[in-house]
Amino acid sequence: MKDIFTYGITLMLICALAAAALAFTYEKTQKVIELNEAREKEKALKEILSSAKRFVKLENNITPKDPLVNIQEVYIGYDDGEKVGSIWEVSTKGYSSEIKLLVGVDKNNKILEVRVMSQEETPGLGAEVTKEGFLKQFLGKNEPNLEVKRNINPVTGATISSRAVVRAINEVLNHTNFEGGG
Amino acid sequence: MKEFWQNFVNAIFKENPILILMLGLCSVLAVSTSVQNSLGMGLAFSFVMIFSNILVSLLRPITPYNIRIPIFIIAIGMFTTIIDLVMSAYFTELHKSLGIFIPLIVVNCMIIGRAEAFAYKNSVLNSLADGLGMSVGYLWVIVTLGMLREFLGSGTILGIPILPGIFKPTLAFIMPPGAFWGIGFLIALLNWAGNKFRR
Repeated sequence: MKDIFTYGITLMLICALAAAALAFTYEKTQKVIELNEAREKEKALKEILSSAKRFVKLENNITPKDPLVNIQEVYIGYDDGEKVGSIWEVSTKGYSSEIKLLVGVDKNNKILEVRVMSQEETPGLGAEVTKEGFLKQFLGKNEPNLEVKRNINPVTGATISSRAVVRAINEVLNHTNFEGGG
Repeated sequence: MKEFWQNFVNAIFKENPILILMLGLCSVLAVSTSVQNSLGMGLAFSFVMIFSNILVSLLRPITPYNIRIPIFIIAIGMFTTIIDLVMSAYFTELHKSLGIFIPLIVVNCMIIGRAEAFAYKNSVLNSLADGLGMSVGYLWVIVTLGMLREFLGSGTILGIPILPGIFKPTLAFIMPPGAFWGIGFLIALLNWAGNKFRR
């Protein structure tokens, strides 16, 4: 019986010590982490849609038509009150991971840039979807009729990863065309 | 002081955490695809290893035998979370490429193994020596493996191309099989050297 109290108090003391140390570190690092993330995203947005002076995040969520695609955030770019395009943060299920993309669309609803933000596909195969050679095929497209092997060449040996990217782009084009998202 | 030195050297070769004790192999095999990742992982591991050894040894007088494991875990978890937060704040890129393996230091059997087998039974100074030695032992193995795999797998070291045009890299080395070949080779090498040295 006496032991339980000693154990409990010892554990409590050590936990309190650990909690204090963690609270201190969290306090010191959290602002830097948030700043880093915001800066990184802003940099990416500016690079994709260089004509926009400011970005407004779309508040209401858009439900994707394709259940395998997830529309996470949408930013509309403005230049002096005029819409110049939009940037879509979408994620989709690839072969072995979630592929996260930033898709820039200009005011004519044409794809401006596709950028892979994160993925963990097979190195050398699926991970090749991050390469310029594959992604540049999407530039200028404005209709959600893209299909692997019909009008998009997939990465060799990585049809599933290629399809996932195509699916995500089609989803974006679906919305820019018919709901006036761009 | 002699004891300190002995503990330190012992941990680097004779009780090398990876090649001899073969503990905590998972992170070594997974992360050593490049020298930069290896260094980052090695340093994060060293931080947790050294400080958890010191803390466990410091807390020895007030740690009851029956609840020592939860106490070790709290100490290790605390340092792992600290290094995780610090890395994500100041080394964002590196933190991203190491991904899940930083939080997983908390279940690295080597760190809890040394807490239980060494730090809980020895003085603070000796535990520090053991922690330092284990860290150096871990670092040299993971960095060597990283160099081997980065050179053979992508033809670079620290991102700088070596022998471009002459040497054609083999992709398999940055994939999982390459990790097993590499570690097997290093284990064989250390065993061979150990046998030769003893004779």
